[in-house]
Amino acid sequence: MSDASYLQDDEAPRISVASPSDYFALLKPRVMSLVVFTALAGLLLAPAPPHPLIGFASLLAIAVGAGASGALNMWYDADVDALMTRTRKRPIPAGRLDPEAALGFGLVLATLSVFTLGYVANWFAAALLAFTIFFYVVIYTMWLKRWTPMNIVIGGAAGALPPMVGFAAATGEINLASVVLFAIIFTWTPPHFWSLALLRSEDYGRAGVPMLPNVAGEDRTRLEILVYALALAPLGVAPWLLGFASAAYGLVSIGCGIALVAVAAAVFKQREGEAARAAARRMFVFSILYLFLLFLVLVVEQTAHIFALI
Amino acid sequence: MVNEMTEAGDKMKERASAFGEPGVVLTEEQARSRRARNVAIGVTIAFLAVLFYAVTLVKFGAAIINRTI
Repeated sequence: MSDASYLQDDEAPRISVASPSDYFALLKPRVMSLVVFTALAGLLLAPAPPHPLIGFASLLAIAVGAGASGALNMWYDADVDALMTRTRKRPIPAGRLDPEAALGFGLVLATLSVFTLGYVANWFAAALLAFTIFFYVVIYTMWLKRWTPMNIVIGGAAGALPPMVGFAAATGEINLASVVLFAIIFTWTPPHFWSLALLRSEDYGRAGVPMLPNVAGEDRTRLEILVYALALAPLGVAPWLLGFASAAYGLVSIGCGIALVAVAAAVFKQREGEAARAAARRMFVFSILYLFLLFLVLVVEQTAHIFALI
Repeated sequence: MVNEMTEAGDKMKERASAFGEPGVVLTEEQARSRRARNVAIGVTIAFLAVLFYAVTLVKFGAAIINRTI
């Protein structure tokens, strides 16, 4: 606390003790890394990839845009975060950072990222990034999250847009390939977060967030996870079937798709006790690995293709 | 410039002490975190300046030297 003790408590200036790492935590670095990775895949799908510096600056702008969304989400959700074990140590509920500071930080970064992307790449990509931030903050965080158990189904669009933004940054347009990458992440999001919701249903219940297990029950959630996994597995193979990924990608996506369905089937079957929790945990972890592997293969083979062109 | 600011700060403290008050004195933690934030802001702005300069050069390409004198 300040030594300005001669002032009355209510008029004493609040002098922040927040460190740069607290501000960095507001950006949700783990989500940001996934956004960068998927946007890179979209960017590399362009027929003529941009100059490396333009590509780097575009990805940086997209990453900062994602970080701004995270900061604005933490500002709005500070009350809910304080009630959940998973989030109560975030900078605002932990008292290390004022909500107003997070709001200002998020708004400045959002504006900076959109205008930077407009300058370094093009204004279509910038508009798409602005829409992504708007969708995550206003449509998902402020509206859907506390209103409907379909929150992450619709809200997942925000997390699925980065490959399209990356492709748009490189080309100024969107194509079928970038839409397919959007569809893969969009379909991947619900089973990923519902497996987490199965593990944290008490947390979500305490905070009053209507996740599917709390509203429709755990059995219905397990069925939905399996249905989405069954839809995702063939969708994951689509980049190869449509001709913008190699046979190697096809093999990886088929193998990972079969494994994903098997893990989801285990979640559906195991309904009681520690075995059920272990199955949900395995689904949560494997879904991350699934998406990572698919996009890793895309990134590696597109990079090899670019080097072959040079 | 720095000297002028330091002098201005000293004058403010003198004025505050004339009223029998110490002025705003930061605790060690507050001073440390403020310094860390200032360094982070400085590094970020310097990085952005270099990035925008380099991006501008790349965007102009060869045309950057093609101007009337």
